[in-house]
Amino acid sequence: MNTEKFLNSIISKHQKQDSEVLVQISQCSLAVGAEGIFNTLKERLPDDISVDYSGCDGACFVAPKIHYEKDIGHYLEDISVANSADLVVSDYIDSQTRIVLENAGSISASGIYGYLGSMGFSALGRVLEQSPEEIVDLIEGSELKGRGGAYFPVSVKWRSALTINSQERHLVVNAEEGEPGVFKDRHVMESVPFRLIEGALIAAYATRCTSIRLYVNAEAHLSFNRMQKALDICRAEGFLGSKIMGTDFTIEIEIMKGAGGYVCGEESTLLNTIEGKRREPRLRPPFPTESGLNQQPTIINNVETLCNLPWIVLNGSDEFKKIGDIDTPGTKIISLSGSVSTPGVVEVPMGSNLEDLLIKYGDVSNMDDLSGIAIGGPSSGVITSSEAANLSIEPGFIDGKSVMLGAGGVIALSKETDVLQVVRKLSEYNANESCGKCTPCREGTQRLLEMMGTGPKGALIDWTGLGSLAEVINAASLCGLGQAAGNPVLSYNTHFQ
Amino acid sequence: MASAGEERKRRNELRRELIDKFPRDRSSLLPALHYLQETFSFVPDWGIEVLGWHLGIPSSEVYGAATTYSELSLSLPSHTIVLVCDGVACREKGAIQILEFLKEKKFDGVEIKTTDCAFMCSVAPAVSVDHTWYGRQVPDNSLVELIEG
Repeated sequence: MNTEKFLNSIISKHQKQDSEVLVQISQCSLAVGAEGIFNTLKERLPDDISVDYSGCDGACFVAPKIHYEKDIGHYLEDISVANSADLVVSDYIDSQTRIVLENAGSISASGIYGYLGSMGFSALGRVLEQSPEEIVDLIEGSELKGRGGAYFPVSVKWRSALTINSQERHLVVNAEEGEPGVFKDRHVMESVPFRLIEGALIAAYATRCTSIRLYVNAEAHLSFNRMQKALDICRAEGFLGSKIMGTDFTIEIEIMKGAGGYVCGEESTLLNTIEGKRREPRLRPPFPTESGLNQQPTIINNVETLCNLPWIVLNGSDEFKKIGDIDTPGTKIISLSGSVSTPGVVEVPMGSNLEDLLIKYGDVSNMDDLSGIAIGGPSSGVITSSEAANLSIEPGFIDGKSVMLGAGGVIALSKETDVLQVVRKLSEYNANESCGKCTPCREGTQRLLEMMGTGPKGALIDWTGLGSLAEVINAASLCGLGQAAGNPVLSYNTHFQ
Repeated sequence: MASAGEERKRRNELRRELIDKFPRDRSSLLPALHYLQETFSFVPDWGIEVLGWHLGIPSSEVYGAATTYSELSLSLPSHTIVLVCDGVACREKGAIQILEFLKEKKFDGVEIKTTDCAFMCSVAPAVSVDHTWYGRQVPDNSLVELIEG
């Protein structure tokens, strides 16, 4: 049976009901009462309107929300709930460029029918009818880069693992989203879990992997449960396990939960955690692609990275390269929070201007109302609000020195906020999360805090000494956490001194 | 204090459960630690020993791994735990005021703690009561009612 026939046979089994209300339940909306609305609607709506749940569409600022095309206003009279099909939300979403978050919130996250109805798994079908080399070539042509924060070319990582001769090769899906201020992978897993599964299967097929591990952050319970359910459905429908989509491709996805710690998102630490060792980074080289999980070649890709693959397969690498920046094509999901009127998750083309982003999607009326912007969490730093006009969403140091996009967290700081306090907070986070393996990070991050003291803005602080210590920590530490632990201090030195 | 017989019995029961659920491989360590935490609400020291036997690794190493993870607790929490997120985004929306408000209240049997980021930034400020998170909180009586149940 070819994959198209297989897909059609599954789709015909899952006909969507004519009238369906989706309650958007995600980690964000769960905290503001979405579950209560789901239960009320289940009780209240007549039998000809079914009630299901989807994930949040990214417009968290109006959560809790439902998604429904028709008017059911009279059923909702006494409930405070927004409809994502309404103009306020649909404008916000339609003006974005959505690849990873396409259909987030408007298709069911509990069943597979919504995803199948929007071309779901047709990319995997096409992939399975080609050779793995053709897929690697396609991804190389698309110039897709990793979206976890390092922006390493995906095809280079894949080829590096493919050059190692080994019976076993592993794909690890890094869903250990632990960067403060970032909540996009949670949104992806909670709203389009099947896209992540499809992306992971495409990657595993292309790189001839023999196992897939999905490693989810310990605190992302909803993401974990939703992925687990999606995996069970895929197994039952023939998209996972043996003879996937009727072909000879056979692979399993094993899901596991982390147990806390920012450093676990660092790829070699992640491998230690999976192997049952302490959460400490490993010496590199050898890199995971040469000697990773159980000393076998291992590819570690971020959730957002993998979710780009189905789109690239369906639309081609040339279409992908038309989006975003010339050096880094595609989109980036930004987690927008802090002193903005409309916090949420937005997917914009790479290379978008930072000030435009804050004004358009954060509804910031005047950039002068902000004292600064914290970008990229504790591995990065702070910039002044006036600098945002000249900076864009791109890999590497966006200010050329110490501020980088990381996984895409952008936190606006109000006029009342003392930016020095923010730098202390970020440095304190690094000090708490340092695993203690190497001295510059373990001792240095503590010393940074001591040197900054607790005094108010304008207190006498040895910024020159702080700057050189921060540089030593960055230069002499072993892993990504330590190598960026001095950045908050360095960024303050550059932009606020 | 459990008698020696009871102690042996509960250890054997746990050992049988671990044999049923987790392959004898080091990579089962973290899932098994999660299982202990879910079963007992914390990771008891005797559980660490039993897990060490089952996986064939010294209990000192099980202990070493267990203590590096912030989500695992090695003692039983005796109070209701209220977590106030005081990350950068929640501070922007008033987390410090919430923290001060709650500390002044001096609840009985409630421990007020902070966390660096709960990843609830889009519905900040966030407060959790016994592991359930609530977003867009304000320092007033509705929050007190939430905590006192």
